[in-house]
Amino acid sequence: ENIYKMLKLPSSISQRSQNCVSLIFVRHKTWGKAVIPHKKPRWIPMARSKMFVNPPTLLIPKEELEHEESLKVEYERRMNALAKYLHDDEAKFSDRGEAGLKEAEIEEQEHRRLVQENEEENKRVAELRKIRLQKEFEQKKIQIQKEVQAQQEVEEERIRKADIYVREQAEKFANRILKPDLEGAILKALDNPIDPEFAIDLHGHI
Amino acid sequence: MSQAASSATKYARHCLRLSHWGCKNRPFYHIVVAKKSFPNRHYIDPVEQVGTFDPLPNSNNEKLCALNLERLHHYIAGGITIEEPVAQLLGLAGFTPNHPSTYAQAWRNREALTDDSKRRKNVILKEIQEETN
Repeated sequence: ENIYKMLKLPSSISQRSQNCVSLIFVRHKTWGKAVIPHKKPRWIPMARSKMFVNPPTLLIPKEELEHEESLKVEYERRMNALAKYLHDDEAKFSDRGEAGLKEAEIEEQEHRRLVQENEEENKRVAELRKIRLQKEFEQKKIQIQKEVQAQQEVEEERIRKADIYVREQAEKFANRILKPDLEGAILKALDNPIDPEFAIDLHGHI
Repeated sequence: MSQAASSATKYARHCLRLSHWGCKNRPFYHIVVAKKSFPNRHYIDPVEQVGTFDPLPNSNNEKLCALNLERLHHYIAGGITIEEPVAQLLGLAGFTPNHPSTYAQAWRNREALTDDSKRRKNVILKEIQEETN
């Protein structure tokens, strides 16, 4: 550990064992492949042992390769034919092809017809509704008028009763005792005592 | 006419390919329609998912594959490129002709049964597995 601190070596050092010290320097980059591979510099020429070396011979026999080629050609041909067939099939019979578009148009026509029917039905029902609402309106009007009339009658009755009461009270009020007449009224009351405890016979005599 | 021509090559820049959706030691693929220039990563949303493929055999020794044939019909009609693995699957399903690589794999496997030198080394044959067991 002390050696590493003394030499100020980077952290990417591998420690094989405590007894032996093996220093493996690894250069790093911040972008791309992080570790720079340890290779021969590009300005150094190729080693003489590696120059003039024949390429590896293919162990697969020639007839086999030719057979594979012919199979490949046949496969390509068939696949192209299949793709074309499927393309035509889709153009004719798929939901976005001719058949699909025709079906869509038929459905569209049907939809329009149904919408038309619906609108006519709505109109008919609207007419009936109008008549019904008119009737109800008139009935309601009559009802309201009746109620108003009843209310008016009640009010008139109340006023009439109040009028009678007021008149009675006014008559009573006319016989009130004023301050200068007070003494005379007291003497009069004393002179004419009223005894409520009495009885009358069949002829009306007390 | 021009509309028909344009619709025949509508998906020329797209391809049908397998998108890896599994995890470590458990591959699983979605059969996906995507733009060819886009990288084949599962976190990039494709145009449409058109099926799945499970390369590991199940308890009945079947490798399950799901395909949306209606949409495949639409995309192939639009001139889409089908990559080799998906072409193999479609060929085996019977929707398209068999890809030449299916036949090549088949005769090479047949050769490898007899000729040991032609075998692929990362595959253990059932007989040898039984012998070791």
